[in-house]
Amino acid sequence: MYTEKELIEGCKKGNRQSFEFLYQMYAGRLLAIAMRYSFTTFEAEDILQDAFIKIFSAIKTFGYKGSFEGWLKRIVVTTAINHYHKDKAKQSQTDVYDMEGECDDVIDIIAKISADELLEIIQTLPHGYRMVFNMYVIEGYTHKEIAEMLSISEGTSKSQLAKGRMLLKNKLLQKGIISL
Amino acid sequence: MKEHTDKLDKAIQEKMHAHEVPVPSHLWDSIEARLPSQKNNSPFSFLKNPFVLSVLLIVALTGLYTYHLKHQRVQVHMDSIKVTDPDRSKNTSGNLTTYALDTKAPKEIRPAAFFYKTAANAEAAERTGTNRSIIAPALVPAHLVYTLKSPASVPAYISPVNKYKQAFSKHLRNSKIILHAADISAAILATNETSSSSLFNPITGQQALQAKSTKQKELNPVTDMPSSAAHRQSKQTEHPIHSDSIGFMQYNNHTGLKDGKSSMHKSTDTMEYPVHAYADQHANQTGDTIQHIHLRLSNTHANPADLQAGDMVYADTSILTRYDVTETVSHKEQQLQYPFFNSAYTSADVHKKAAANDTDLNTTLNIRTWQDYLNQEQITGSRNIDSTPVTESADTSFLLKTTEQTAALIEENTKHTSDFLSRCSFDGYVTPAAGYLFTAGNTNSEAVHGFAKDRNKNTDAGKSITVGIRINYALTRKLEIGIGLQYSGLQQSSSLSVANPDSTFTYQGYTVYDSIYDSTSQSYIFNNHFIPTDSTVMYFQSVEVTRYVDKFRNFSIPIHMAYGYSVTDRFSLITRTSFLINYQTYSMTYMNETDHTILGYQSHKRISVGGSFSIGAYYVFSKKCSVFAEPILMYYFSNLFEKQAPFKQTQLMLGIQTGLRLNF
Repeated sequence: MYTEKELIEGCKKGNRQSFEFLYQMYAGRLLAIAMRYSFTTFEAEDILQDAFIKIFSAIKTFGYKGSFEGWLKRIVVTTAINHYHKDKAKQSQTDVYDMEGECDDVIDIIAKISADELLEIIQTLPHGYRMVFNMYVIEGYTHKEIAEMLSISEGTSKSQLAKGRMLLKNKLLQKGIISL
Repeated sequence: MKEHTDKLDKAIQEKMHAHEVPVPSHLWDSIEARLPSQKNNSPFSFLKNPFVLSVLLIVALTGLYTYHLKHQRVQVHMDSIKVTDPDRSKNTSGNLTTYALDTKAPKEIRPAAFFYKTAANAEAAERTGTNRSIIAPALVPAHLVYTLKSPASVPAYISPVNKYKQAFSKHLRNSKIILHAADISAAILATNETSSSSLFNPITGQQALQAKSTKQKELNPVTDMPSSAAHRQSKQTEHPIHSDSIGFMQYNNHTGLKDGKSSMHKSTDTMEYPVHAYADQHANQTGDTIQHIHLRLSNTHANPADLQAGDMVYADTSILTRYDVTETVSHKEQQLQYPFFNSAYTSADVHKKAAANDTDLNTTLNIRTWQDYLNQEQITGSRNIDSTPVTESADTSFLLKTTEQTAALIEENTKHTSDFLSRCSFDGYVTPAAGYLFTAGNTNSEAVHGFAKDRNKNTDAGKSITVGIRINYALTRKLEIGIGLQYSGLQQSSSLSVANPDSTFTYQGYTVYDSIYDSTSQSYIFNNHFIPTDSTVMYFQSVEVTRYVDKFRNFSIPIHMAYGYSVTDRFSLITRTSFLINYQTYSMTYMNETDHTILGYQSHKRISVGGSFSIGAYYVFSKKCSVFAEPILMYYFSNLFEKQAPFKQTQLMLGIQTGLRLNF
């Protein structure tokens, strides 16, 4: 087995085998991220492919200044954002109505469902909401960063997050009701 | 509410953290198919780097120069000529005055030229015990040529100096050969056998006895009439008149010139002449094989007996005038005397005169000075052989003529490969310039062109600096080529006049984002690397970004050709055009127009080409150093090799290139 650093160094030297190991090590986690940003598995696979090509090209610039996994994830996210811009025309807005329900209920539901189920629900969010929601809630970007990367204003980012969060809550509640 | 939100976010975050999904097996195949081919690990792959390549090129040229220099250096052998004060050994016997050569009190002199030609004459070689060789050991060092510049009375020297400067190879300049011989006559007696019997006059550059060697009408150098004796002899022998002939000259380069009055006989300083050049020219004319050898010292005393009728002796030197060799020798039935100074005559004439007058040769010879010889004027009457100084006018004329001839000959010499690197020079330069960056769209998208146009309209003056070195090679005196290394930087700011031009467009490629945390603004600054691909992606432009700072760094290999024109000895005009192969790094910083907060960077590296044109002037400080100033126009073409890039950016710079030139 190779250590992470050995794999990185191997990739930096252009070693194809190292890159394959790297792929096997992180592909599952990175595909999960890509899926959160995409509507379909096919789209997620496209994002992952593009992301790995970028990783292969840019790995020489990785300077161990932060977590390698974090660096990989960031590339997947930026690739997904590029895809988002590409398919901007397909985006549609959805009106969101707040459903009645306690937050604790939602948290209970989240605890009970699997990550795959949660991912499925996230995938049903409209594109714009989902992008902001993923970037803010899961990836931890600030609204300013999100606004820059998505070419929207900070206000739009905040608004879309709120709507996305509310929609997700509704969907989780619906899921919980059905499950219960 | 906020608390609930945070709890919800945290729950989702934990759930999704380290979440993995099964990866389809075909995905890796797709990725692998899109990966660039395996990196070439060839040991020579580093040569693809233009900097490494150019550095290697410069090192190779320098190495070639060093090698060449080492192997072209003239081998010099040092012997000694020792001459003593003749007054102490003067001996008058009868009507003849003899100056014996005294080796006890050696005095070093530098024979300027020994030049010698002979017909096939094995006997002469046996007599003298020498190898058969051309003696041409002395050269003209450039510094000696320079000393000629000082006398105002000989302004004509200044002009040829420039020729020397340009034409002299390094080895010629540096090979200050000092000949020493135990006896002047030793030099004189060295002999050679060559295919030609012509005598080359080292002073005039003329074929003094060409008439003999080519069996044409032989002229008596005294009377300019055909020499019957020589003519007879040429008829009697298979070869033309035997001419174990020696050219010898030595020159005073200070006293006679500085004040324009002094005789040249009063200084012990000497000047050397490029006998090699003479010899080479002669060889070119006659097809002879020339050897540059050191003086042989087989004899320590003058032995005119080794010369015979038909021999030709040229001599012109203060030293020889003072230390002339005058010995009475018996040759056949006649007594002959061979004065080696201020004379140009054949022994046939001596025979003739001696037979006619039956008197002491010392007082009856018709002697011609060099001036006489050059002017083709005949001097008649008797003259003491040891009392005929070379007149100043003769010296001047002589110097002028020989200097010009030498310059011409050495210029000819520079055509030889041995002078290859003497044509080389090094330049170092710096060019402050005003620059202008022009951005244009590289797609059909109107948005791109609109964006570029808007930026071009609102650009500040760019600042540029260029530094470089180059090695030059002069193809001719006016034309030179060269190659070098150059760095050029350009920085320019621009802004958008509208807040948000149509900000999305497509291009082929993708951008790798990397982020740097800026502690000042406490935010991430994104660094985008554009990577061209076949797939089309969307470019988006943030509404906040309205100001840009573009920076170009060009590491170039300039290949140039220049044409120069000398206005004066020190001042030249030059026009130069260069082709540039660039390794270009480009970065663009984009920021908020209002507060100039840096929002991100874009960077890129690429190979590009460019060109420059300049017209300027050189001023020669010394033979090794010149300064130059050339107003120059530089143009760097856009990323010609990247059709997929969204923008084309060209750079135009106008500046003054100033620098220093060092000659070899």
